[in-house]
Amino acid sequence: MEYRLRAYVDELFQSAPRTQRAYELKVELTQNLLDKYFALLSEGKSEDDAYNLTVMSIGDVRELFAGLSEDEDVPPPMAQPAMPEEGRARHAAVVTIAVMLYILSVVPVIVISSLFGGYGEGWPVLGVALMFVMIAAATGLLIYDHMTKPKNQPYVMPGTVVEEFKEWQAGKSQKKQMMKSIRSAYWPLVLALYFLLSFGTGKWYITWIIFLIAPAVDSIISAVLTLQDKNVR
Amino acid sequence: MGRALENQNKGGGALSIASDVIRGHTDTIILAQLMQEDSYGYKINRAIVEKTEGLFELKEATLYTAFRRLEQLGCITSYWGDENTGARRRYYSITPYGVEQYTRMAAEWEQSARLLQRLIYPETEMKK
Repeated sequence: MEYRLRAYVDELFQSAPRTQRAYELKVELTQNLLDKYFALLSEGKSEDDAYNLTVMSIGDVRELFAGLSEDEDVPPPMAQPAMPEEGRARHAAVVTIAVMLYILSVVPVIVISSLFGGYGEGWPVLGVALMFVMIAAATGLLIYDHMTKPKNQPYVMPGTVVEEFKEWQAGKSQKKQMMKSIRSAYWPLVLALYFLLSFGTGKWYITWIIFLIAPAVDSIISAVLTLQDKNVR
Repeated sequence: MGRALENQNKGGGALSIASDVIRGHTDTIILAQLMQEDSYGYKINRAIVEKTEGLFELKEATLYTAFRRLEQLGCITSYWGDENTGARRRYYSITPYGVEQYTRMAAEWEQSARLLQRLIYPETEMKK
């Protein structure tokens, strides 16, 4: 029955903000409820009656919980900015530039081949080369952005199982993030390869097959990497 | 103590008025308890129940909301007691500012009581 009371308080605090104050309040409330519960028992109440009376005496906790999140002197740790404003602006700028580079990368190919296509074999190649440079730059920017992005760690109560889990996860996600960065480069490269092959061979009717092969290769690579990861563990 | 809850639930007319009046003075009541000695949630509530002979009891939620309000105002401070029994209790202690506020609120209550007395029993006032 004592356990039931603790479980009830646990459930009650599901809706409370995750702050140090809320945690302390929970400890305080639990102790006082237990005091009350045992006092009722010693008065000769049955376990069920004592439990019900104790739970009933809690009352409406909404106002109490609302106060927990607006403590001014103790800012809730959750309110810590996950990413400083400056970093967020930089992140937006980098991603925007990278995406623009991707989109514009086909422009030199089109422009150069339509303007100078007649003047010799060298010109279209220059267009494709330019496209590659732009794609490489864009991919580089994205990877850099991914690697330098501050991690958005949600606040966890110290000394809990959740915290240990988060730590374990953080170690894992470091690796994950790197893989993600590398993979983000994959599709632009596929696109570049498509154009390169198409312009180089002129066989536009068949080169689109690359878009069927690419997802298969992607899946195989990630499967192999996952297996390796598991073996290491 | 159970009696208090049962009575509250029945919501008898006179008693519910009394409860409303008392609830309006939760802060003063808590400060009054702390004027005597440092105390914790359950002990304060038990004192209230005993003094009202089981007719009134604060809800836990009301009690802790009041604690925090008073703490933020600087009327009380709190600390964790170190019981040997393994029970961890948060004790509250009244500050000099809290004593000041208590005195002011008690004086206000005395005035309210006087005025209510006159308003509710106009005849007795006339005779005086």
